[in-house]
Amino acid sequence: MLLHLGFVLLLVHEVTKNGGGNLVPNAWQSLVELIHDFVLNLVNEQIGGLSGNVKQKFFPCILVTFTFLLFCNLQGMIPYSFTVTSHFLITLGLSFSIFIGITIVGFQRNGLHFLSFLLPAGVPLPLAPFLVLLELISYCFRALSLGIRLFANMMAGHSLVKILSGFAWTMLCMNDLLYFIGDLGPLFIVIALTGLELGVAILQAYVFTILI
Amino acid sequence: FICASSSKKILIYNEEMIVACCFIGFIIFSRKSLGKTFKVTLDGRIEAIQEELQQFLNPNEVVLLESNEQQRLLRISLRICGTVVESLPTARCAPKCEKTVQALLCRNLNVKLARLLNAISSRRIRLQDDIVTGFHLSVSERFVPGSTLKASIVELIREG
Repeated sequence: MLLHLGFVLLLVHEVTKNGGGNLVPNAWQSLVELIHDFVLNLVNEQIGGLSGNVKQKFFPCILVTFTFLLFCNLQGMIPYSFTVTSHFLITLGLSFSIFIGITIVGFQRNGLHFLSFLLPAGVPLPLAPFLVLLELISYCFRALSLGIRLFANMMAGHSLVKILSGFAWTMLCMNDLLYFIGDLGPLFIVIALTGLELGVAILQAYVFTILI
Repeated sequence: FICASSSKKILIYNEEMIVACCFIGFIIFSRKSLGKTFKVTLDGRIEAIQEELQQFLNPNEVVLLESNEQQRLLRISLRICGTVVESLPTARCAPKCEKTVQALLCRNLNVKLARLLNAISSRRIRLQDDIVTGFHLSVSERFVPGSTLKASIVELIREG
């Protein structure tokens, strides 16, 4: 976690040094600007029905969540390191705290009118009781699903890589030419899986953020 | 380095080494295949920002061209005035009158030229100040809530 914080702070310092960076950005500043623009577009497109200023109030929370998950996942890809988000407690804690926070803020801003989103527009009245119940269960389950999705993806990916590399290592230690040639298969698969895991790491950060 | 670390039991030979080797192999492979694309994309973005900045500052060049054109027209009109003065019957006007008119026209032309140049430079300064103020406001509200770095931000953007 400290390493992760160090990376993020270093990047932020790179952008904000010299009193706000350069007008014509260098590579690192471009990277941070790309992440910033990406989350800004995400917030503007996904949050509908509100004015620009109100939408921007949610931007810092979304940006911090996305950046935290992205860097945690990417840090876990480094060999011999620790993946924070592959632990159930972390992902569940994050998703539950965000869920509780959003609910409290929703009730504070809108009062009991916040419950109106449980009944989507255009629904026939006889269906309303069942739909409200369904939406309520779906809303409450969202906290669990966000955490479990992230945990499962990270855990499964890293477990698969470790298991396959275990096969490769056992075959390598056999001191037999046949096993050595057969070892190339798991090696290539582990290389391909590393690429897949990198993609999954970035994607899961995006999915978590967009489903908040 | 690997032998030293393994002898000191920092680096342990297990399957994690395979993961590390595969990771390094993947990074090298992706750098060879995608490194140029990524670099080209980033460089393209930087160049686009640079060009946009240049185009923003270019309207001043257009003003300069217009002022040059105006100077040329003024010189032509001065020449015409000169020929008109010359064509006046010399019996009516004294030679001093002709010289006075020419001197007046020259002075007017120089005054107009000086005014044009001043207008260009003041417009450039105003534009620079506008850019400085605009970026200062946007950057300071995003990054620096306090006012201690304002001067350095202003200097940097002036240089930019």
